[in-house]
Amino acid sequence: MTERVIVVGNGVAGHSCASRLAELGTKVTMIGPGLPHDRPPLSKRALATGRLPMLSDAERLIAKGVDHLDGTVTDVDLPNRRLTVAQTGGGEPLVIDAPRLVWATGLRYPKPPVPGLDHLGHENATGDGMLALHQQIREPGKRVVVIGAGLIGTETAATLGQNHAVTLLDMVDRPLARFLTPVTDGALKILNELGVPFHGECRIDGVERDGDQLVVQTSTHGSIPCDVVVSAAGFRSSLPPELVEDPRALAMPCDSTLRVEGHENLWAAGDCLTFPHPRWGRIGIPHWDHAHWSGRHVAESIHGSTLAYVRDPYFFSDIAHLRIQQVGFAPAATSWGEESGLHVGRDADGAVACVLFMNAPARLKEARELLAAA
Amino acid sequence: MSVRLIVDADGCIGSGECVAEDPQAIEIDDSGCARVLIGAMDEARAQHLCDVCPVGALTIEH
Repeated sequence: MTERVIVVGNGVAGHSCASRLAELGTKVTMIGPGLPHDRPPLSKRALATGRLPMLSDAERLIAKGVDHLDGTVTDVDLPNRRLTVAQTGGGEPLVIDAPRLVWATGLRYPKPPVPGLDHLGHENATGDGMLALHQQIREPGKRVVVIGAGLIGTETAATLGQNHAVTLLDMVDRPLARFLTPVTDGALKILNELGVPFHGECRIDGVERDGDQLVVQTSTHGSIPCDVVVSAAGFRSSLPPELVEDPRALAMPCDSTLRVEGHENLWAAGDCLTFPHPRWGRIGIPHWDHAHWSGRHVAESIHGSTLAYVRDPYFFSDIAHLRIQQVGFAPAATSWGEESGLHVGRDADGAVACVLFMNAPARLKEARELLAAA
Repeated sequence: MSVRLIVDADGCIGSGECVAEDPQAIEIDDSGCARVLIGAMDEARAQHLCDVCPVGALTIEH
């Protein structure tokens, strides 16, 4: 197994894949801007300390046998298996051969098209964004408006709410609206405890500068003066058009070994794939756990394994001191009930499809066993 | 042999895998980071916790 593998992406999935390939003795080059780091950098400690959650450093990458090309892929010539890479440090773009290619670039988190937000708003979904935001909130007592109450926005609001006067806005009526009711209830309770007002069903018209402050203009909640605006609404595909015909597609369909369907020697890892789960059908899992394990699985597949990827969805989140964990596939649950302190979702046949639990990290194993028994 | 388990707070991502395995030995604190609850433990027990951590944020100190 001497032919080099090119891994595009240096987040959790790309780093996990490249590391495992190197462990297995395969030559591997990982392409991504900067040293590998978690993204979105959701760790509360990252935002509190201003230190990126790094996955490795240059010395450790060398020790592992992972070559790191610090740059960004700007062109994909799939028929000829060539990539054009803009180097972070400048210089001429590099053209490299990629006979065996792993795509692991995750999702993008662009700012929504609200007038003024693009140049006046910060974001907490990329490493550079998190570092720039941290510079603005180093002194306590800032007035911060967070736009978007999904996972990134709610975690950010709860973290900043411990030292700043934070307001959380969203166009929907509840924070974490796409999650189960106990999660949204728990998040609302935490936000209330922190003194973070949540303005739901908010229509944001624009962000303006007014002297030395900013103003978020809304047609539902008036003008909200603040010092810092954080955009945390929505996500988009990071896939180039050479890999997907539909620009709205978030992920590439893969087979059970995580090889991209219809392509030889092309695999995907992390957020940018869907796979045929033996129980849930074709799904994607945009979370850390899947990024890590799918990256390792791709490495094993490249090394000749034909084992199917069967990892059950698992996500965890910390909204201040509220720890949320969920295993299983919530959309498959047709009924929910509390069983011995766990929120258990069952499918139409009565089998456990999903288990949600909060502030009970010791029960992860038990939750997985319940799911496995089904 | 008794050893100490050390958490790399910058490396821990709070996946909770360690707590799921041995909640008497380790917990998740309010910042979402693993925290060791006992000063010394059997080396095999500590090694198991190191093995289940997906990011290698746990190490053994002899």
